[in-house]
Amino acid sequence: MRFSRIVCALICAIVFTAPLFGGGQQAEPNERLVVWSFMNEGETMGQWHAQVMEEFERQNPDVETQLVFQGRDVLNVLRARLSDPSAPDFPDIVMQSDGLLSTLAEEGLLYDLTDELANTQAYDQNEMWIDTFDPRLMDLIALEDRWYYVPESMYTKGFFYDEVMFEEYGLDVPETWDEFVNVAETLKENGVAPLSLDGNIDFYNVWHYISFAQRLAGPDRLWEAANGNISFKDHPGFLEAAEYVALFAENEWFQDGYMGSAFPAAQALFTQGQTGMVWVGAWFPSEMADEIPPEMDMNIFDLPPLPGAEEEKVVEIWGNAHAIMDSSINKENAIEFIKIMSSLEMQDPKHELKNFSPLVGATPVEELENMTDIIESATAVTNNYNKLNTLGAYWGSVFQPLGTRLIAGQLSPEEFIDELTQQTDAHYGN
Amino acid sequence: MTRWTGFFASPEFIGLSNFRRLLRDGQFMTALGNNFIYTFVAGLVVMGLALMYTYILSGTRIKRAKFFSNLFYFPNMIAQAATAVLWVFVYNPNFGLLNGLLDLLGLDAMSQAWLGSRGTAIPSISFALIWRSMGFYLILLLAGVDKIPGTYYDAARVEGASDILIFFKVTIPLLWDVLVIAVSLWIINSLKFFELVWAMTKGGPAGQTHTMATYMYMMAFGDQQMARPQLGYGSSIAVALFVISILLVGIYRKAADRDAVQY
Repeated sequence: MRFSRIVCALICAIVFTAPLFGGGQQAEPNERLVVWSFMNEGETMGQWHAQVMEEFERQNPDVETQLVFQGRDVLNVLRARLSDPSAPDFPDIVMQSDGLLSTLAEEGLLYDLTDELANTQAYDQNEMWIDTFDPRLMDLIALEDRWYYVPESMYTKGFFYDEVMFEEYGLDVPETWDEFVNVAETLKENGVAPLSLDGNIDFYNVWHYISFAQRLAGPDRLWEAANGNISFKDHPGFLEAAEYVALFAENEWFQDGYMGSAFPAAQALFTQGQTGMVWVGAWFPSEMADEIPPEMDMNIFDLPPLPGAEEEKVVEIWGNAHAIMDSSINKENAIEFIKIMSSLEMQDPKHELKNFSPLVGATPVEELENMTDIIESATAVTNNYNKLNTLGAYWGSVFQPLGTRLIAGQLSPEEFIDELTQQTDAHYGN
Repeated sequence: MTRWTGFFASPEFIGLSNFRRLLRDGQFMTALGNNFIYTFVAGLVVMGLALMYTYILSGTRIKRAKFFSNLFYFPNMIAQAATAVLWVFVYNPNFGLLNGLLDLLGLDAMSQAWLGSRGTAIPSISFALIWRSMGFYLILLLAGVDKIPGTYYDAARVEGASDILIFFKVTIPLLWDVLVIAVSLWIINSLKFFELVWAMTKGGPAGQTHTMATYMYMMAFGDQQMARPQLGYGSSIAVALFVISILLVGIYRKAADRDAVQY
């Protein structure tokens, strides 16, 4: 009996005092570096993150490092871990697209890198760090003239096509809307679906409407309308944009069954030569690097100018980026990691993975040969999705679903504008 | 009752605004409607099939009944995400098994994008759900049947009752408590139905296959391209889901309440 009481008392003591010893020993500053990648381990850019880490380890053999492949859910994992930023495995660096990282910056969770960028030298160039990046991208990812993340890549949106296939059917890159229609119709006549679309991805679907509305109504007006400050009926460009999108479905330019196609099935159809074009972000060659057959000569072109457009060439520019958590005690290591990531030396292996570098003077990727021209010919630039994905529930429950219903042919352009106006008003309580 | 992304800044108290918004949120109403389809329509099929196979597999009508019950339970042993990937391939409009089969049978006019619109996506997801769930309820009911003393069956047979009559007059009444539990479990599971839908369609196209649980997840945690998720609004959906589950199960339990059958 007495023995049992002693055992019980011991168990109670252990249970109640265990939390006091939990969490391990607090590490000294800059002993460690924990990096959370938003890639999965097998992905091409994940391999590159591992290469950057190997280089960092070579330069800093005494630093204990950890590279965790969190996948696209990285910010949700981070959110769950924010209750204990002193934990030894709490990340010093997180990666995501600049649009998604802006949420963290606005909440004060990210370290302000402005001074580092503006006042310290790049890793392997005799220039200030910030001057090594494309200035248009850096302008777009700044928040009130401060920088909270450093881009690892630079993207825009365009139509990917196979030059070999275009030659076979006597097609040139279209420079007007009529020429684009001709390209699509010629492909269709030859039994090739002009465009690939994975219709189960709402943001791919609604992106079509955004691209047309940016030009026909202007990017600022689109932003104002999506914020409920003006109506989608205030400018004819919004309806015209919907009419252009509706043409894609009406003319049967997408592959059969596009609405039931689950990512990345449609992209695979393009690399297999079963469709003629795919209208996506410039991440495409990198994402599909393992699938692109050697005989394919892939390149990219922009949506041609549209008659009567408010803005002739609106180009979206964005990048995936690395940010340092404000609570990190390993900031020196983190800054060095990001500098190595953005060094000229590390651009070569990334180039092999067909990813477009944000550095000025980096070797262009063959499949993205026209991307520089697309960006340089822009009359206006804007961030990814015209930043509409930063509108939270409006983006998720109003804009994206309606964009999908438009491209699926479930709504006529007029019905789309009516629904969009009505649901936007309801969302903002106008 | 808050406006909150779930990150660092303090939640802003907004009273019942989230619940008022919920009532005029068309996407939530669609999700609620979908949940009711899964609960009542798919539920009827699952319970109907489970009872039918209980009848077939119980007693001595079929040899190796255990093997067959395990076979039906097998889909339940596969991770839901893996099940979803399997069905996404089956329903693929270009190289899917289902369209391939229809082509083979000369029914290519019926080939379509099964997950491409609400009209076909909800039945397609329901079919996958039924395929996956039926075995679990079958095992529950068979376990209940095993507990019924054989003397009741012997007595019924001596009196000349047919197998089907025995099933309805002896098995089901004595199985009633297990059946009530099984249906209650189905109501709860179908109302919080998440994994298959999320992995198969992410609630798309156009949010038309969302359930309350997938819509709650999207609002609370965002999707791949949605910055600024709304944990506060997601929480109000979770509260609504909880209240609806309690109400439905409560009403069902009250309706199914009856005196124990004794022979």
